[in-house]
Amino acid sequence: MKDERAVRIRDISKREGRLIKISLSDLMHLPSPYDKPELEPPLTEPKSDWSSNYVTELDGYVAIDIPWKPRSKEEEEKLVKRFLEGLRKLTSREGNWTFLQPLLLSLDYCAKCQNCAEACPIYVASGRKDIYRPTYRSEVLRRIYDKYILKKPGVNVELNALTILRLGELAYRCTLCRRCVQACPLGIDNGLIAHEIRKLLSMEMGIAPTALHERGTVLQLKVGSSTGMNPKAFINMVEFMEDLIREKLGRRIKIPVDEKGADVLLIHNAGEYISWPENPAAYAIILEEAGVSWTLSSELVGYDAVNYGVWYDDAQLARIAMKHIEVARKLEVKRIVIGECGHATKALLVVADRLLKDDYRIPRESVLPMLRDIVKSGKLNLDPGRNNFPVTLHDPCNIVRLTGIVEPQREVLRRIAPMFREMEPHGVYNYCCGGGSGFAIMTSLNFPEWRIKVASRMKFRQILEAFRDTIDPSIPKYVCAPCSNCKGELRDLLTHYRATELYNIHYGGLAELVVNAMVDLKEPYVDFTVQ
Amino acid sequence: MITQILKLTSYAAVLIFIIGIAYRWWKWSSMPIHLRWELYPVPHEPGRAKYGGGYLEEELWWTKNRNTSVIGELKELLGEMLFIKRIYGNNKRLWALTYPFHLGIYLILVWFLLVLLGAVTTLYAHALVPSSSTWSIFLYYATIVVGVTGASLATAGGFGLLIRRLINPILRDYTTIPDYFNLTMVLLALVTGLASWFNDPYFNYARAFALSIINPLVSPPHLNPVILVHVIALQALVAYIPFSKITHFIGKYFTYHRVLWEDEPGSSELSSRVGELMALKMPWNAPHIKLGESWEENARVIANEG
Repeated sequence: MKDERAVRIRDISKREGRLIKISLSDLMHLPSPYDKPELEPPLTEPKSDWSSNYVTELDGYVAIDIPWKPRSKEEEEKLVKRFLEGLRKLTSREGNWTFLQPLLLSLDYCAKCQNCAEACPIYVASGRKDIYRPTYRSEVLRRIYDKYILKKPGVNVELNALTILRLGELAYRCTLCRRCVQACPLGIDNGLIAHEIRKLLSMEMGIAPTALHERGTVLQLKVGSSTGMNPKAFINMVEFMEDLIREKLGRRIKIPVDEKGADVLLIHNAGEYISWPENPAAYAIILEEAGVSWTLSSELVGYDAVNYGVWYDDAQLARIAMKHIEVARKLEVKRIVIGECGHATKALLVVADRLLKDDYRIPRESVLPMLRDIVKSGKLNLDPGRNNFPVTLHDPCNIVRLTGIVEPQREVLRRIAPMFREMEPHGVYNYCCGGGSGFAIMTSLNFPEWRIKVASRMKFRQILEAFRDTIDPSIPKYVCAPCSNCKGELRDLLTHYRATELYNIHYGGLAELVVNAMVDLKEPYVDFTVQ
Repeated sequence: MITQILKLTSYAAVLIFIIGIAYRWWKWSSMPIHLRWELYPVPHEPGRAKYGGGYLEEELWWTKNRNTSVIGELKELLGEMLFIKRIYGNNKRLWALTYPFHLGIYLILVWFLLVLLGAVTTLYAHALVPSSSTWSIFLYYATIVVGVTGASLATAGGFGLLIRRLINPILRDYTTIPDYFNLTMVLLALVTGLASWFNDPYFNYARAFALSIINPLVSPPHLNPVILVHVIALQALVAYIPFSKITHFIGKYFTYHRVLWEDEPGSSELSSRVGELMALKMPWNAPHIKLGESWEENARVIANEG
């Protein structure tokens, strides 16, 4: 295979085998100390038997881990028919009033100038592979729409099973970070088009990565959390956190659960309880110290803020948002506060906002402004000297570019982290961690390799550049990521490159740093500073 | 005779343009309200727009007055319209072509205005352009300078964009026949316009033709074949614009003002508009969708049914 060959629009329907093959030499170079080849783990080949069930014909990686390949000519025709049926619904008022105007604007007006390509971290980090241009999948969908729905003459695209299979996979090679939109003079939203292709596949054909659907939204609505944690397990987790707090703080705090009439219902991403319990525990300490009237919920879905529907399916998005609101109504709280979780913040504050009416319009906000106000209020006795190590801030796209919460987290860091330094670029022009739009939780087959090597590569470069002057392994360094999915991605990224082990680079949330600065604490709250 | 016909088709072209643009506008503005999908920076956030923040940065934001700045939006809008700064910031080589092209078109629009003002001055102020009055001297020279500069810039930029699309394999792959056709239509009007200028260096015919259009009783001037071809090309372009992607100035208004900068929080008014849409039957077919039931009913699927 000549992987250097350019990939044209028509190739998606016609070219045999893999459209591209990624090789290490093509990828964007990493800065020192990762400019040494021995620090770059090798790539693997997809297993030969995967191609009978999964789509390896795009780049050899598999995001959609359910068998959806047609096995006969009839099944191929059926796939094409169902896709077109879905596309009709996607471009109709009944089927897609939720995003119809933004979608059609983006299909109608793209000037195809390619101005957006250099804004995309995946395209650039891949070594500028044609199929990862923000415009590639959009142009394929646009041509299918023009030719088969609008029946325009002379449109050069062929719709066959291979086109749909590759397009489906390609919808999962974009993290929906929407950085490309910022570069577009016409405001064309190629991220939205990727989102809409995912939606068509899910809502019409029931095709979505299992991590998002079966083990994601479906599991959350059924047992209460996409982690599989049921209400009883959640209560056990709360007790575990109370023990953790006693150990760290030297005294026990009673974490309020299902307190009716509290001011604040705090909902964390349940992944925090499983992987980073020190984050929700830190909030328990902070809210207790600040005297906030708050509660957690043990109700089904009420203890898991995640809403994977925002990435691939409007029905699932609405169902989970409604459940969050119902839980808050039942507890008669004054407001819902979403913990350090980017997509959950965007889903409930922004995207689902207009779905909520009358009694369901309970005020909702991110935890970051509240944390900033508490820190500024002086209610916590803080000594920034306790965080005397380099800290950089990762901006979660969903919190910053897509919800407009930029400064609160910085105001906190400026007060508690004397060695805080920004990544470049940062704020609303940040780069995605590479785990956005569900990638961080999609761990099937060989997809993690793609997201680490390609999707997260730009972020790794940014982290190394931010710590360039302190890369010495004797200096502990902290990447602050106030988002659960970003933390998941950073965990995998730093593990892949052994960056913690070799260069003492750690990651975590924001609240942990605040608690680490509390004077009353006998031992450091963040473990890596313990000698 | 032929100029009389062209006078009539001028009215027709302008009428088609107005109706077509109004239809486009109506089409986009009557689309259903969508879910919020804003993108920061949102320039109407006073004080926060400079770093990209929004009102959700405030704790208890719903209890506070929400101020929006029209000036902030206008500043961003004009910066983009007049300088195309998003392309300047990302691709200076493209900007070197697209900027003169668009600037040239803006100047040509100003030229149209100057020609019309010249005709109005002659018709209603009874002052010939040029004549001894300062105003008419200004109109006379401004028309020449603006027209020639505009047409030259737009033609150079337009050819540059066309050549770029033809020689760059990526752009060639993405460019469709309608894309080439749009650019060709614009270039045809520009090239014939420049050729006309050689035949009408002071735009006296242009003013006379404009005067005949303003006053239906006045006969149009006799035009030489080059100018005739230009008028036909220009009328064809004007009538064609509403049916083409050249209307991206309308699309751009909606992408920015109705999508990317639309951060209006939920309200009773918005709820009632959304309520009607939630009553629509959901047509999707996947197993987890309750086919034929409304969006509202689908959203309220309770636990264990998901």
